[in-house]
Amino acid sequence: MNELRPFIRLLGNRKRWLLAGALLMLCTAAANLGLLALSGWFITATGLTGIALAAGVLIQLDIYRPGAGIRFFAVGRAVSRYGERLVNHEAVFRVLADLRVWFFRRLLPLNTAALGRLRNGELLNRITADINALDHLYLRVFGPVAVALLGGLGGLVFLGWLAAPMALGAVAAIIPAALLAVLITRRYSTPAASQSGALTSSMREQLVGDLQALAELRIYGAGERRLRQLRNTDRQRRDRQLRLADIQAVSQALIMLGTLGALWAALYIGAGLVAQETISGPVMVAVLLGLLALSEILLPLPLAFHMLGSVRWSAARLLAVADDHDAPDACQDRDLPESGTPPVLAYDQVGYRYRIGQPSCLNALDFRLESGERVAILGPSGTGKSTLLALALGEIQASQGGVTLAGVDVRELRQEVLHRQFAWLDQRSTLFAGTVAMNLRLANANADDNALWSVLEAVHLAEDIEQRAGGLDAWLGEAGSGLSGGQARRLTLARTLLKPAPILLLDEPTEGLDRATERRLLADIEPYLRNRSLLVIAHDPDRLPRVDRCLRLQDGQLRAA
Amino acid sequence: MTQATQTEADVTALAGEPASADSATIHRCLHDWTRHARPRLLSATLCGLLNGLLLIPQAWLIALLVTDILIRDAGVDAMATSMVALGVVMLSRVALQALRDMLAARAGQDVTTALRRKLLAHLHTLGPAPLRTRDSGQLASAALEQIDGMQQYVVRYLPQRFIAVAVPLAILIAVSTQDWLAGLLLLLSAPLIPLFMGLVGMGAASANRDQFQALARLSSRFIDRIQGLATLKHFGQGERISRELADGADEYRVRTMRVLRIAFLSSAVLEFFSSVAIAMLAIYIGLGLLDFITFGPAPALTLQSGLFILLLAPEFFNPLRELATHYHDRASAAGAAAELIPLLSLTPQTAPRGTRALRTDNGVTVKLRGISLGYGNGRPVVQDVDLTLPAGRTLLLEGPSGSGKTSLLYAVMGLLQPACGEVLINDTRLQELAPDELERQMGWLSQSPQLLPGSVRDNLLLGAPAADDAQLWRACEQAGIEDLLRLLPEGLDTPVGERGVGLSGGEAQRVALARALVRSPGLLVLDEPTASLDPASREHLLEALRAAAETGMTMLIATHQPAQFPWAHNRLLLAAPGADA
Repeated sequence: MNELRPFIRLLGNRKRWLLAGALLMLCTAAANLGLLALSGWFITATGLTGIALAAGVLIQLDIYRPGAGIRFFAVGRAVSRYGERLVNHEAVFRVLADLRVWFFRRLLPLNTAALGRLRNGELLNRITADINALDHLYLRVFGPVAVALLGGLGGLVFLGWLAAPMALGAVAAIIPAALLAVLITRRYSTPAASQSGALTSSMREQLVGDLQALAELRIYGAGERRLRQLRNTDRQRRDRQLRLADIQAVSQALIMLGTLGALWAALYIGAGLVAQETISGPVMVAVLLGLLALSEILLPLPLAFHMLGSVRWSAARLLAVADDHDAPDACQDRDLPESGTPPVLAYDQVGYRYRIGQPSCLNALDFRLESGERVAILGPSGTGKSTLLALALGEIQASQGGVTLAGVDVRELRQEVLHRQFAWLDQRSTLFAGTVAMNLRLANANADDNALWSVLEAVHLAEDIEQRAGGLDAWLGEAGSGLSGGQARRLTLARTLLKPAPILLLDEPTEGLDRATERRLLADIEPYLRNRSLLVIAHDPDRLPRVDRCLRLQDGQLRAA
Repeated sequence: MTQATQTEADVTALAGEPASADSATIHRCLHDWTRHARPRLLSATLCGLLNGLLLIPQAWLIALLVTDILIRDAGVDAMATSMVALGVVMLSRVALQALRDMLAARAGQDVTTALRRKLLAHLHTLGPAPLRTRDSGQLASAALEQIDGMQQYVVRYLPQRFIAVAVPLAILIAVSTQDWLAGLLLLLSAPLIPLFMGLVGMGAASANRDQFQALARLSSRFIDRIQGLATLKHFGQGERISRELADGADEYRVRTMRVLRIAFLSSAVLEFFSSVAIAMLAIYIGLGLLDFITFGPAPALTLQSGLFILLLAPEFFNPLRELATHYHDRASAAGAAAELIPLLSLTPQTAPRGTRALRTDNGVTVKLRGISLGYGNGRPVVQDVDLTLPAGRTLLLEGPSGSGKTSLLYAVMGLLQPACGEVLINDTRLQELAPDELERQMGWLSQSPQLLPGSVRDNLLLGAPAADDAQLWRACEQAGIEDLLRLLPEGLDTPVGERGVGLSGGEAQRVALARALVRSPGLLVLDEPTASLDPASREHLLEALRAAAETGMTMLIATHQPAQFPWAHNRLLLAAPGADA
């Protein structure tokens, strides 16, 4: 249950709502019990009185108070059920918000490699499904279990107060059945749930692979074989799911057996008690009908335990995503001294290799980006140019040497401080669902509309945006869908330029643009480069803004180009 | 670059999408899909029905026993018989309940498994052309989650639909035989059951729909932000966005609760009616037993019949309530169907095939005569293209994004049937060639390498199942990947694909080339083979391609960068879409 601990703590933040919801659930159960028990009592009492009256015996029966009680419980049950649904939904919505925000915050400290993995659509689908599953933790798992335990216990104590032997008989039937049901679910349902989850993942993996390679499968005639494999996995998955369904059916039937058995036992014991005149007839009937009412709150138990299995599986996977990082090897707690000019970025004898056993892509590399200097780095990609930028941002760790900013090792800087120094255009910079303005203002929350238009002008996007309904408020879909690739690229460049950071790191800023646009754009962004340091990466020396130096990355070293 | 091509292609292709399904179609399809599970579903429904009907003898026996205990002083034997009978009824109900659940689960799996098989086979038959604009992750979740979402509809909703009508009706009749006024009371408290159900259903459906929509919007926003977390973090916006997410969720909560407060009223009405009906019945029976009510059937009421009615009263409403809770299963099945129907109604656009064999003694010649290509009802992507590619030559297909380069390649490969014109392979029309005749002579390399999970060897053998190791290594050498594979500890058995480690994009692309070369194809078709590669890998691959071209195979290459292939013999420039309009 360890994997549920953080999520239970989250529920704790909404204690009041959850308690109110559970309390209302209990009220509903109590009103239901009251309604049936009192009705049973009333009918029996009137029946017996009627017989006595017909026999000429004079007895009195107060019919007004029980009648009022019945009406009270009836209305109370309807009202508290309505209230319970409202409060519980309110609570669930609050928990749902907490859960998402908590998970998001928990992802924030991850390093870029781990965050990069989050772009994988399949992983994202899985996260969505897992988060949705955890939304059930309260409403389908803890809520019903708490109500079944508390309500069941309270109800039995009440019925016990009316007729202890009958209630004990009921307990003797319910408890073993419920325990057995819970045990069966816990013992068999959790492994089957995780197997079925694993089969789902593997099936998704196979399917996505096949769909991306449909042409290959056709040409190489492998379609049939792959389809057979998919069907095979699906069959295994179906078997597991049927097993789960059977376990659930059996435990559900056990609970029903327990509650019906309780009724039977209570009736049997009640007959004896009435014969001995230990209890009156109306009380016996009240207890019987009360037991009927109680069975309703026990019914969701197997489902709750069944859900618990899948919720735990989802929780474990979410935590695995959130904990997917290596601890930083130095304390990231230092600040940079304030200064009016861009800090010097220095690489000192830096070595880096992608994987142990592979040749280094950077080898004892020395380089200084002076304050306000503009440097271009050329060379085929795959030689480690982007690695240079990632090292500066502390996203990856050098295997030798280190990178300093104004003399401070970047690994020791607080992450916010470090990121504030750089405006970084990465190959993988992302746009968001939201307006154009929202996307741009991520870089500078205080930029006014004029500032936004000028930067759009500079990247030759102003015209395109103007033509859209809404202009700056035009809505972009998820990941900027609705823009062409080239437009998206220019919008991310505009956003980078807008960020008021002293050092610009641009990784192939004009990739994907045609030559004419590129040339004009490179001239027009000039004002945004002023008074900053610039490190720009490109394939081609012709595709650069004005720079002070051109270097070429070769054999892990920077040389003058 | 690749991204730009993709997105622009998406935008142009949207015109030909099939229209989304309307609700009549959805229900017809749901009906069709569940048809073959009918027998099992029917037995599950019968079990449920029987379980519900047994409530009547159960209530009757309890009422009888109570009366025996309290009034009649029946003999021990008579009571024992009744107790045993009650036990038998209860045990039968338990067994029927379990049986119903198990049968229904099987019916559910029958439906989803068959539907999933159908969808998977359909996707495979469709081939790449009709699916080119679809995200494979979304297709996968349609095949998995969406179809799974239909399960509860079959398991819970469909049987309950009958039970919720039949069981209350039977109870109504049973109650009426004892006291018609009590029956009337039940009937009035659920005024015209179908209407009532409709009301509850509509309320539940709209409540669920709103709730689902709010949740879906929340999820997509959340996922969008997670996807770009690296970017948000760089801009120092992580905290702000997490607050934005919290605010968004709060806003959704407030808005949805406003709707739910009304929507829940409809179920509250059901709840209220059922509570009040039970209360009224109890009071009516009580007063009747006291002989306070002197009209109608009341004077004939006995303790036994009164108890019998009271025990059945809650059960009259329970099936309805259960149906209301399963109503969202129906909504999610309809949602799944709405997503699946357009997928299933996509038609394959592959060219039909004939029976003729392909003779390739003198290599492969490709001719296109007046080819026009289009998807669905959209504007043609390619119009009236003629092309002759003699055996052993290399032709570059150039043109801006969206000019139909990939579509033209698909047409040559038989993956896209031309709207008009014909494809001739060695002067035989493509439609006349027997299936696989062309495929066996062809190698294919797409923009990004598509290796299947497995080892390098598995992938190479796809191209030529009978090839021996020497042949495999020769293909690797030709593709310029031999040196690397010799260095790796597992050699040809190095795992690749989604779980495979270790191959970069360029390396994987060269393995894909080796896979194409190992079958010594007469025709090699390439779609921007270097688009996703870095320059170093690009050089490597271009080397290998040039060497392959020299062995005399025919090559058709779609590219943005003709300069990379200086050795090509011919070039064909496709105009941008709409340029000719």
